[in-house]
Amino acid sequence: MDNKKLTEENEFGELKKLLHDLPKVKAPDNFEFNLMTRIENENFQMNSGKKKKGFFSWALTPAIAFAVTVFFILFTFTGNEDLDDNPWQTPPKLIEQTTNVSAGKTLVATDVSKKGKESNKIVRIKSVNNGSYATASVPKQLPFDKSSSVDLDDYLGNNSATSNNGAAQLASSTSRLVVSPFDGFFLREVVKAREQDSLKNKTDSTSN
Amino acid sequence: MKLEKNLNSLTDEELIKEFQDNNTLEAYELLVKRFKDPLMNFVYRFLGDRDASTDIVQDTMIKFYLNKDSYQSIAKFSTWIYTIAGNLAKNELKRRNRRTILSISNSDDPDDITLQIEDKKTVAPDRAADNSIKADMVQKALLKVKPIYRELVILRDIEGFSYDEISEMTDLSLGTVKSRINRGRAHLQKLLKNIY
Repeated sequence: MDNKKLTEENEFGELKKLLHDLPKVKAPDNFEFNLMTRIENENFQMNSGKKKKGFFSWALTPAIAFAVTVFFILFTFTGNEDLDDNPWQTPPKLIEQTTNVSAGKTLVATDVSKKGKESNKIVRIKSVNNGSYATASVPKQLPFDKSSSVDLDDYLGNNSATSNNGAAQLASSTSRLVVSPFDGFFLREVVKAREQDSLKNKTDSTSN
Repeated sequence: MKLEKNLNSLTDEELIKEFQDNNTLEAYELLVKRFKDPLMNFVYRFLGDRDASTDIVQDTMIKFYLNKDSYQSIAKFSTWIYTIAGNLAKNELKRRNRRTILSISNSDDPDDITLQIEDKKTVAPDRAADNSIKADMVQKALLKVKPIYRELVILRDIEGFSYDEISEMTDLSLGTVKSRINRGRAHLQKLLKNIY
């Protein structure tokens, strides 16, 4: 009996020595101060077990699992019916405005207001199909009467012939000598607001 | 000053009696001073987290302050206070395990456990001799032992309590205490075979 006991003691002798020799961990220096402060303030709320309590609770696990499953099923089985509407397979929108136009009408762009600079621009219809979407670049509105002017871009593109604008002929045209109220060419200025502002600022600063 | 001198000479049981009967805060403070470090060591070895251990020892002392009357003089004070600390530490461990979705392997079968302790052969001799590294290895190995064995091994081999005291603290029979301590030691020895 005694021999068995001795064997057991020797079996773990080294281990016991190793454990016994472990350095002793001490409480922090401010332990007693913090404790007595808690007692004086009657702050008896337990610190352990209530720390790091986040939003997540295990009680919510079934509800979360159900929601995820429903979302997955809906996304999987209803997403394939119309691939065009699938946001993952639709190419991103171009910066150019996309407007819905009807024949013979000029519409003010609806989403122009997103960019303040383009807020007063008018969409010019290049190709018109009933009920179709047309993508058009937005030129600046010219400050003169349309009936007495011609769009040089359109003219050079042979669009002037089809135009129903009676005055849409160049003054230099030799085929027909028609006296028209043509105002002349309009030089389209590219407005560089930043440059203008900087120049203005410079002028102001030198004048002061 | 004189009172403090007198209190210093009192045993733990006499101090708590003083605190119970006369609500002497100095007696309480003296008991805190005596037990804060041993409890901290016990809880730290069990949890392996210094901040959490500090909180638990604080809470132990708060519970002791609030429930001083639940102590009965038939038991040793150390047994009583270690029981409180042990229960709080076990609760903390349970709470942590609930929160851990993916935990490290903590299989019941000691043979299945993968050692994550540095092998002696891969460590330079001078490093292996370093006590702090050794202590770190032992602590890591301790945390791999099942909590029901770990607690008893710590109480017996680190804190130095007798089997009877451990039996009283844990409310287990003497035989169960002994067998669990031996199982824990065997497991620990297996984990630490490379460092001694």
